[in-house]
Amino acid sequence: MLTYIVKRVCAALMTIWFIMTLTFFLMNAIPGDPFASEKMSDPVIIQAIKEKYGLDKPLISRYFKYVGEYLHGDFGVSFAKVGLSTNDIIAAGFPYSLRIGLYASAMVLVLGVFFGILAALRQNKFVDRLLMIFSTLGATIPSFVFATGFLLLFSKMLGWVPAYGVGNWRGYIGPIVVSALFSLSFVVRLMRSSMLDVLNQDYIRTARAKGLPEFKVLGKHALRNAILPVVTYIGPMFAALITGSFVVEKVFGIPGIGNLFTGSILNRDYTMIMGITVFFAILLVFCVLVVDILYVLIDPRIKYE
Amino acid sequence: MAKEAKITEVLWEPLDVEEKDAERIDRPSLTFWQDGWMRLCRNKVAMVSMFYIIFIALGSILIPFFWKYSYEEQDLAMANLPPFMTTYVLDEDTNLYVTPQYSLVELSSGGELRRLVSPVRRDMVQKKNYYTVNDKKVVLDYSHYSKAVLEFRRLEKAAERSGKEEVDIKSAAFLRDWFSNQPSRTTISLEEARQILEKRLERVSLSVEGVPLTQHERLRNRSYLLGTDSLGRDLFIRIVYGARISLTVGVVAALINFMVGVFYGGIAGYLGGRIDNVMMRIVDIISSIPMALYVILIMVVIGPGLVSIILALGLTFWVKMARIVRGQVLTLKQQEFVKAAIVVGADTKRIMNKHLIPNMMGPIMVNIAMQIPSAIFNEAFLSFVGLGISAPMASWGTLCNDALAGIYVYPYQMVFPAIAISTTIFTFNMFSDGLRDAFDPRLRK
Repeated sequence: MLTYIVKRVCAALMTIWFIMTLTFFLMNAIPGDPFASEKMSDPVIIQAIKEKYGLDKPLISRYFKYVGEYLHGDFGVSFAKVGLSTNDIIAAGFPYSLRIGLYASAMVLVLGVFFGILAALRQNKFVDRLLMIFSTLGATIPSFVFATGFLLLFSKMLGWVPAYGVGNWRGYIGPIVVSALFSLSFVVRLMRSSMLDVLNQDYIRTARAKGLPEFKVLGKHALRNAILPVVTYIGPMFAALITGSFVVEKVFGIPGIGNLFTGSILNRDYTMIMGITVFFAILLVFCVLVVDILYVLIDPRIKYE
Repeated sequence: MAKEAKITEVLWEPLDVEEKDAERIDRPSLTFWQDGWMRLCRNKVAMVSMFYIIFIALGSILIPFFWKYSYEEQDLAMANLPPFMTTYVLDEDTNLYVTPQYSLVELSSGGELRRLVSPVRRDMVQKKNYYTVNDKKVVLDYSHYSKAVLEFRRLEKAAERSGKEEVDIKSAAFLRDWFSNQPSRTTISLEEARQILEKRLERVSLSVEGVPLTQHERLRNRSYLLGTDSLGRDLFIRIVYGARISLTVGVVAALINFMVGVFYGGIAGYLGGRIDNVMMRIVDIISSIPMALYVILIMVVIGPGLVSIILALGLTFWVKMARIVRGQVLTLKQQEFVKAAIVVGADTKRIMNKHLIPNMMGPIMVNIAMQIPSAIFNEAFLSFVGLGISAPMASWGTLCNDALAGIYVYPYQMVFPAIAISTTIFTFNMFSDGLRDAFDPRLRK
């Protein structure tokens, strides 16, 4: 068990290092430099700025400096927003994304598992067909279509939610629902198929044969086994939802981390891009790692290979 | 003891000619492809989807050749005109349409746009615009509505102060007028007041030579099938052009995935051993990175545009393909025909091209078909965020992004591209599901 965990942690650290390196060299491969603008033509000034940000040093020494700073949790200073560090900017935007991500994840899990079980129990009946149609639509229609449709319907025509921003709790409804839809339709399908698998197993027949009430058969014997594939999906989904959907944050005007990321790209703010990318990567790898370890604890059949 | 062989007369009778063929297989033997194709044809959803895709593809290729506008042709005078307009009838052959910015557009009674009428005089204080159409003096009066908006804002503030949803009718002239036939009524909820303001109240009144125009007519825009965007470009041709871009991106990115994936997965699976191990660990690491993030980073490095979006998608989404190809190669290379080829002395390249790849085309093709909608999806997403195709070129994501700013006033600019992209991705998914059922032998029942 311990070796398994150590192995997984090592692999996770490797991944983070790989992403950091890749991001660094990708960002440095961009032609031109961030200070090449018509406002600053004086080579002396440019030289001074480059010295300030350490850009006059060779690539390799900059790389080691970068890795060293990141290891200390210092994600550098923003090029575009003068005087602000990347850490501050992330810290300002992240709570919005986190809140939306947490609620959306909760919604996906509760509704996804519930509807998945419902569809499996009513296999090929009307409810099942309906749920499958909805989940196909949810997985194929782009989120910006959903988001704008939601705004048109609930904000313009019905006036229930604000059109922009998250001033009050109503503002969160749209982002949460829209960002949950894609994962939700996936989880419904996943839950349905694994539930159908489990319901055909012998031990379910045994449980029914010995006269257990149906909710016990489902809750104790079927659900516990059927939910395992969903558990593996939670990690990446959770990370994807809390790192914020770029589209949802853009349409609903939320100052979250996804919006910051697209903003920093449009501003060519390279240190911000690197910082947010690495932050995303760490979050993702961490979530996947936690779920992987939990999975082994939940499902004793898996060998710690 | 030999048994006396007795052959009855019946047995000596010759058989019918037809019975000779009883054992023959008279259906032609089907190849893998014919078999799969037949199964695909039986899947109605997949067939409908296929025809829809063919229809879109042909349309996107052919329509731009004979359409009267090009995708980048601007006519600022004709900006933001919807496909359906509620117009005022001026005389039997002229209709007038008032835009949300209180400009006046002249149409023929059939719905062809003639011109944007330039005002003779704009009275900003009285909130009236004066025009001359067909030698008649036309006055556009929007003072009532703008006053009502101001009054409604006041009501909103008052309601906020008092904390009550109900507002007094007396304090707002537009509500007093509205309820003039119900003198007993004194209060109204804020929500209802908003409904009256936004839905029921006439925004403008138009009068010709002092006589108010009351006759309305709903006309289809005959000059621009789906209306125009904010720069007066024809929305229909831009959507058609967007189909070109989206389909190109989808197909080419899927082909790049195919090439990189087959090359990488083929080498890993065929060589096996330590090389395979290292190569698959790299794939594991890459697949643990959120792909959208890397597409974005690559886009930042190589700059926006059609070619770079295809490259970015092609370079990041090959991982799944590589895994599938590796798995296929691992099983196929154990089989006798590959061993026979090795014994005969064929080199690796020949074995790959002649023996392995043709035999795994089924799963590969299914995977290509599945990657096309995901590439279209990602292209639309990138363009929507502002990192993909940029103006004047149009992809569906760009069109939706352009429409986002005016979504409340001109929802049609969002609706049509959104329908186009949703139906296309949906049908591609349905079609690739059908392909999978037909061609992926693992799922064969």
